[in-house]
Amino acid sequence: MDNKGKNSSEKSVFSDYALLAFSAALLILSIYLFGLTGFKTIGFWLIFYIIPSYFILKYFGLDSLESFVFSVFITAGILPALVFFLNLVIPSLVISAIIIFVVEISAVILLYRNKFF
Amino acid sequence: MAKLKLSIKNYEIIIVAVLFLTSFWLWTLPLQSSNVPFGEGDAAWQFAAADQMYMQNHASFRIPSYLGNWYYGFNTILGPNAIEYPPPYPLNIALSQIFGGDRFVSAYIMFALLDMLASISLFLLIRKLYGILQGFLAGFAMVFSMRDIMLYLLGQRGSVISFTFIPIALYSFYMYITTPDSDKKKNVYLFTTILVIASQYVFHIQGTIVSVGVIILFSLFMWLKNKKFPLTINSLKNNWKLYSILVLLLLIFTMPFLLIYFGAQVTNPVHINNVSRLFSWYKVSDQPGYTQGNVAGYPLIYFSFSQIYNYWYLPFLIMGIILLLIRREPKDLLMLSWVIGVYILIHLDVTGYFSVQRSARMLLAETALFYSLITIGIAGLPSLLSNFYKIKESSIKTIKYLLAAIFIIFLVFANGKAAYSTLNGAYSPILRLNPYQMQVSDWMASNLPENAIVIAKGTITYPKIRFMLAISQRYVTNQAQNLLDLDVITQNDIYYMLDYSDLVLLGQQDTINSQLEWEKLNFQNSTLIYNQNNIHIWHGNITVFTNGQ
Repeated sequence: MDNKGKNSSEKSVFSDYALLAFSAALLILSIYLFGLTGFKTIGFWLIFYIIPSYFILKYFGLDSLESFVFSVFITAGILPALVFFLNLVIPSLVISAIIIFVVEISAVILLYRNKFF
Repeated sequence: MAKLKLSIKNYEIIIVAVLFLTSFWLWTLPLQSSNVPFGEGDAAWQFAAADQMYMQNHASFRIPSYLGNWYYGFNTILGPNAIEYPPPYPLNIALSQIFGGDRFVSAYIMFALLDMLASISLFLLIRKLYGILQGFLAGFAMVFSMRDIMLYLLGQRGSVISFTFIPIALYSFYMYITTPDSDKKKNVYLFTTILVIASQYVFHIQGTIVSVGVIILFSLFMWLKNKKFPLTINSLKNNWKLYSILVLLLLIFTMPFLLIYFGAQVTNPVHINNVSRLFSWYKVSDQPGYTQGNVAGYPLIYFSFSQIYNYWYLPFLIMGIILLLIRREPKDLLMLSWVIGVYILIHLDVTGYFSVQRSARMLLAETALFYSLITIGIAGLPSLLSNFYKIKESSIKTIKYLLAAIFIIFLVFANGKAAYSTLNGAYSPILRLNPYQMQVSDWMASNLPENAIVIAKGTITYPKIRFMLAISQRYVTNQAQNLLDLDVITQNDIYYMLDYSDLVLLGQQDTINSQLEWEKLNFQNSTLIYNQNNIHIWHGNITVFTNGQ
């Protein structure tokens, strides 16, 4: 979706930087509280769940706040469900999750490169 | 680089960050003090359900017998050893264990993260409908919501997570209804509504019932207001492809898990009882257990307005409802639908269809609602007063922010303080597995057969017995008589664990002595197969099938 019809604040990429800053702050807090495990767990959550879906939702015209909050809630149930379905065929959770992640990233790239909608 | 301009959109992200980081710090306090799992029986079950996926690197509708024995035959359709929650919920935890790298800490970080989300979903709903101040106040209040915190600590985590979805589901549907047909985003909101509800459904069906119920009520209100039903035959005809995709999506994510819910459904015959409860918001004084301080498994604080909120908030809550009734704009109708929806659902026990235990859990939908109403009341009161008294525009703003500041002070020093002390003091070391119990759990995992049944005596709490089950991946229990009666196990599968480790730590010498005497008497013909750190495990010729606790 292009930037036509959006106001200046929506056009600004600052909100994505703000999200990046938030992610960094969350990672720092998790390292402070739980060390490397905190970093890996929160890093996994951000990379696997949040970032790809945030960009997918943003592509469809939702603002930064909506994209972030929707990405948190939609992925909490939908992504593990997809991993679960795939795991019925591929007998490894790790491989199933990696495949789903690759599909997510491919979807983001495909959407932003080809401007489907 | 783009010009960095601090617009209102950026403030939103900053507020979300503040809410998120505060919640994360606060809700992980029990994990910061110790990395040993905590909670009651439900917590152990939900951890074990995820942990077995992590250990096997595989998720399925079936669960190992050590877990299936716990509620043997619970699902009447799927039969024994069927998982009790849709697998995607525990799979979240298992994935965090796999990629986070720690069996306990990663799992508990993910539990905390998913349970604390009500503040950001409520912020989005109230911010977009009523403004940034109201959104912040409502979201901030949810950080300290004692009812959610209690159930999170006790372990009914799937329910807590499911109820955090309600505001976002309502927001998404509201945006779909109110966005003009010509706007492309209208259909995006329809997709997000379906996906949010499908996502909510995998955590617990009760939250989904609230979301769908309120959405139906809101659609009816909008129908009455606009004298036009939100969905027309024409729009169905014109958009049939879109609607087909949505129905398909909903079916894909809900149907596979339907029997998990319906096989376990305990339906009571419809039987009207205690109608007087309809005339109060949620009366518990007439319930069994009230005088002992516990109703349907919940401590009385769970039902107490003054302890969950604060009596000072009550006038603002009433003011909030009055404002909604006066204005009756679409956003107000959504909130009123929420009020009515929650009222209906928390009174379903009057029809006999729900048990009090189930209807009490519906109160989880009340906290976000009440805090929304309170903040609407706080922000709307000065404007309402200006209709009766001459108040300058600038003074209205000042009063509004003053009230908001007072509310924040109350939140921090009353609700926040209580939340902090509850979370910080939750599950002291003696109420979690001690190092010797962790060690024996690991030993059982390596040395006992998978179908071993271990009766534990001496461990001071039931949840600790169940956490040993989770960690050892063996059925550790307080009794095995029911499984013997059902012919699910044989006497030879049974092991008996005499656990003195808690009693030694507590210095309860008299109890230790009497248990040692009891042990001598009852295991003369059995073989001692584990004897370390004041924990004994016996096998062979076991004749006692309960721990007597």
